[in-house]
Amino acid sequence: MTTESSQLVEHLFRHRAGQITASLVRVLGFAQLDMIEDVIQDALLTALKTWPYNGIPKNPAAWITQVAKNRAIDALRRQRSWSDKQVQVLQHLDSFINENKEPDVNELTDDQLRMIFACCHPAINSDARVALTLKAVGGFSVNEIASAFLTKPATIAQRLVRAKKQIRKHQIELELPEPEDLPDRLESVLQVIYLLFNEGYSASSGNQLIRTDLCFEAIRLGGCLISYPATHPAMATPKMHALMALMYLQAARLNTRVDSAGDLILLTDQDREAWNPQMIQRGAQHLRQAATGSELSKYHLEAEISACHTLASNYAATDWQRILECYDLLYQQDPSVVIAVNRAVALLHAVDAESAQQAMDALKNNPLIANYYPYHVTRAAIAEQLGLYEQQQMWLQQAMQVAGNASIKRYLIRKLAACSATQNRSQAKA
Amino acid sequence: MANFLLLLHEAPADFSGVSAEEIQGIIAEYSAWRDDLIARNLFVGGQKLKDEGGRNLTANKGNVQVVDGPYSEAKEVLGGFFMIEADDYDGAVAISKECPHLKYGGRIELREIDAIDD
Repeated sequence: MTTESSQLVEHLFRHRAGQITASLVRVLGFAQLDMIEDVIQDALLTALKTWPYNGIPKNPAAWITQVAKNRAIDALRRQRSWSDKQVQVLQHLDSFINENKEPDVNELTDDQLRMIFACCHPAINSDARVALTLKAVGGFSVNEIASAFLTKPATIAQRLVRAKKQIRKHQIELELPEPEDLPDRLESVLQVIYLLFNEGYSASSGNQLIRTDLCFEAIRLGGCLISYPATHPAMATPKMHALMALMYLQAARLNTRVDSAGDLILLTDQDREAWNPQMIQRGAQHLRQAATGSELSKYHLEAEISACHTLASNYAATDWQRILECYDLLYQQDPSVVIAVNRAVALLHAVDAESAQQAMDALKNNPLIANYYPYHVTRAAIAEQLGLYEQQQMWLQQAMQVAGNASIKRYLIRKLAACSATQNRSQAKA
Repeated sequence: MANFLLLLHEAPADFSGVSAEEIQGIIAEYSAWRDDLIARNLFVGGQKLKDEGGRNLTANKGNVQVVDGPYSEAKEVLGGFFMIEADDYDGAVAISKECPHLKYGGRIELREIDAIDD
């Protein structure tokens, strides 16, 4: 019986699961990914069953690795065509459990870096890449991924099965891409990290804790990639810096977006003192480093917009003109409904309600607005500016129908109540 | 002060979908409970029992029968035990109530160990 108490480092199990996955895939190949995931889960469950009685071991990460390794050897031997050589290599996986060379559980290992690149291989479906990265690199479970993406676990499970098929079919290996393939692959990796962050950041609901975890995981992956010595400076592109800037500047505000009741706090009302200064600083630093080269990517533009918000000393000081310029350029690159609506908000603040109204009218017949509640909420805001309270009410009610998230709904209810009150007041005056 | 035995009964559970993060969280809860008892000098010991049904021995007309205990078909199995110190049942119950085993679907059988006075 151990009388020592030891604390478990935050996310130790999740991070270690990712490290062991990459390490075993390196040794056994992607064909064994299912078995590898099983033995790791098995090791974690063994910890769950035994540590409550025996206490946490002195080196919990090494314990988990050892058990996973042993289970892998057992599993390998049960396979019909197991190879003695594979078992030997596994048994001699010393460098991994040697206490002196123990990798920091928060850092990505070489193998994990290669794993990210493999998960972002062009042969894998783009919607599967994020799920695969989260599972195989991040150590998230299928349920966690499903809850974050607001889909069913079965959907995620299917995507992973297909992704693994594609890996086998195209014989994808755990190697860094060839130099000529690196830029495209890096682009894919950037997209995945961006999607990951976006999923975590977007206010559209679900398990708040998981979503914050996703944001920080995206920052962790990006941060490890950009500073990875073995491939430096190939990964430290201006675009990568722009993405890091965007993520840091957005994440700096995460703790003030929702109050203790889980209700939304708008940008106008957020406590700027509570924004994370270290993140803002890192964001600003990356923004400076992004300002090299000739490309003005969407990451650059979005980072610039985020900087306009996050670096403003108060809401009134927000440089809406600059934000509008960025949205103009973004819209040229990506004339999507999302950008158009965001641009209209910028127009509302930088120019006037009429210009915003015109921009929104252009979207009237776009089928994609039907399920996009920010469209309706923005319409309501424009109507409010124009003093058209009945219209505002109608738009808010439409937004209510579309919004899926309980805290968004509560915000809309409050807004509707305020709108009613304003209507009553203006009617009383008339 | 007396010693008490906490017998941890549990129904077979499917943990296959549980995430690494959740597993760590559960372990942290157990660890906190245990560490607190250790700090208060109330933790005597604990053992996990192997995940199988053991053996059942009965004497039948002079013959001892040995039968495998149920496991996979059992509704409930004894997973392990803790031994703690407490003044009385009230004290022991107060400690047992905080044991995460109850939260995660298990049942605790609490028995006082009979201290035989010399």
